[in-house]
Amino acid sequence: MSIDVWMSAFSNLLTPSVFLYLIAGVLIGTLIGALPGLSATMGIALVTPITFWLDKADGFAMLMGLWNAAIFAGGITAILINTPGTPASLTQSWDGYPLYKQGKGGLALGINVIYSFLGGMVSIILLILLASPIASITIKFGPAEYCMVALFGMSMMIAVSGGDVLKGLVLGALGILLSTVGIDPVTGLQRFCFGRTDLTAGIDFIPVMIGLFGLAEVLFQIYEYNAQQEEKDREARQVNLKLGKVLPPAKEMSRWTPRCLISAVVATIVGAIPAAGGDIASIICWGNSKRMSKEGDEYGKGSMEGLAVSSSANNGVIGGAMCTMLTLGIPGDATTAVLLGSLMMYGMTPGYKMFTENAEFTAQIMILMILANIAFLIIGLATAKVCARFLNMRQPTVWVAVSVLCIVGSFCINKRFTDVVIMFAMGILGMFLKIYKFPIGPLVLGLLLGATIEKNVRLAMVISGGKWSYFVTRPISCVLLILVIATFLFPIIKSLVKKKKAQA
Amino acid sequence: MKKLTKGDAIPGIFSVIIGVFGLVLILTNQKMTILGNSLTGVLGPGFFPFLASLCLVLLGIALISRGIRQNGGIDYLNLTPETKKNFLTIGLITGSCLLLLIIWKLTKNYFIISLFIYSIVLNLLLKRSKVFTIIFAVVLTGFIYALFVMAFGINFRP
Repeated sequence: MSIDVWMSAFSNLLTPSVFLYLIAGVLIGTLIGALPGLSATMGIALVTPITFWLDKADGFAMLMGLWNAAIFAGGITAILINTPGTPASLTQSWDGYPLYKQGKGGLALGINVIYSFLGGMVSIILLILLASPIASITIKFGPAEYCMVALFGMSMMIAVSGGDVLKGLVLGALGILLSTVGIDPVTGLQRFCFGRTDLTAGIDFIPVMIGLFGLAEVLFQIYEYNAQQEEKDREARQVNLKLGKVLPPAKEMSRWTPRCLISAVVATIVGAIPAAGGDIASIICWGNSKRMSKEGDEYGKGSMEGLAVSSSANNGVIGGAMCTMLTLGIPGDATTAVLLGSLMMYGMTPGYKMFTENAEFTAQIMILMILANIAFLIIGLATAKVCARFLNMRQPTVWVAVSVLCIVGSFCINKRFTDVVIMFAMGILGMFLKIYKFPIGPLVLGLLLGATIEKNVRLAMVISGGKWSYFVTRPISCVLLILVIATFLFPIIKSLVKKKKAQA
Repeated sequence: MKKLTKGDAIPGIFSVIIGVFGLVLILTNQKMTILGNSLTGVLGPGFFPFLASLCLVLLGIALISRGIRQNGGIDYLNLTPETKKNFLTIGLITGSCLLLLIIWKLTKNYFIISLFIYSIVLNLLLKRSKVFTIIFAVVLTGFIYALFVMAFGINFRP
């Protein structure tokens, strides 16, 4: 992308409305991250319908603000109540909570904000530098390659998320089956529409996401609810220890920074791997840093360096996940899956076109990510101590608000009653999937990528005159196919080796 | 039999049912051809739904067999008196949500009022105080009305 594109993108963002929605997004994201039981994915799923009524730049300003802020704010609950707000903030609780217990809660919150900002910025710079060259590789892609890339994304999600390949496969197949509802793009035949015209356009992705990540989450939390335990937790929170100062000493910060820069780069790379996600990235970074650091023994007992490394890793993932999404159309995690759905609903097609035909909008997304980081740095530091008060909000208050927003949000995208029914059905299905420990990611990806896989397989078959060997004779497609097979075989081989070792 | 309801057998049965349902719909519809015109390489509109349904059946069978092998060792539902009570709350909440959808569909014009009642019912089901319930319902419904109806101009007619 040329300098002109960047300049034009930036100048078009300099409007009061963009800044207003960006700050609104950051505030909502901070609130979502700080409230136990709410996740960035749920927040984006609920806010996406609102953004459809806004200008494209305003809408994405809100979404980027929310996403970046929610990931950093996930660390607030990790530090103050030992409950990670997002999976990415898991390792933050290992050092953050002991720091809070030592009376250094404010310092821990400050480290969380500053190093999340650092991780986020490094990750976005890498995204800006690498996305365009990666996207240019996709010029050579034909239907076979696109199909294999989508299959690779799905196979990664199935193999990685939840660890149960069989359950992942079931939901992947269900997602693909759901993606076939509607008019067949080749023959124009209605499939599984049952005579309903509102189903001919297919099952809309956003209501499904709202159901699976909004209503299902609420119902699941009610299922797990223990009133007595909540009361105990609230009482414990009310006897808050003193938070103390927020800003860490400059000397200490300069000592941690090189390690955090490395961890941000590693997290970006891990984030770019489909389905790897923030939790894996932060565990890898925290673990490596613990091994390499002189104060490694202090990690897990309230090490400020450990917390800084975890914080830079959790926001470092964002740029990597965004890179895979924008260039290949594969979401790195559930949150980027919702963002991908939003992007498609705005009429964008991820891949090379994002860097040619829609280059300005792509540049705007990246600039908005930088602005979101700056906004959460300022707001996060200013409100670090205030955020702690949100933790005392009762869970039922959040449940009622979320379930009402689920109904309203799912309706207002297309103003279709059927979407609300679909959201409701997915909410109940999602709750049972959570109870039976099914990973939801493959269902989401099946629904999102099912149409891409089907369209490209059928196109490839037409081009090759019905020869399945077409997928093997093209080098990139063949390599991707091998990767898909390897991804499925890896967990099976791993469990067999484990069993053998246990027997020996 | 009771052991079977604990592990992966139940979701396996559901997977098989969905798969069989899909297969029946495809195989009984003559237009849903699976292979289409194999000479030109065109796959039929039924190819992918057939493949996905077949996978659901086979994987469902695998889940059932795993459930049988688990022999009641894994209990996902874990029905304690607490979770039973929670399930009752979930049932009442989903019931009231369903009722909201029915009323909304039938009356068409009274969505905001229905939503207000729904949030009151929900708060009461979750054992919130009456004063809080009313204040919360007014604020939430007011917010929805201001943002979606007044600002975005959405007409909540199903």
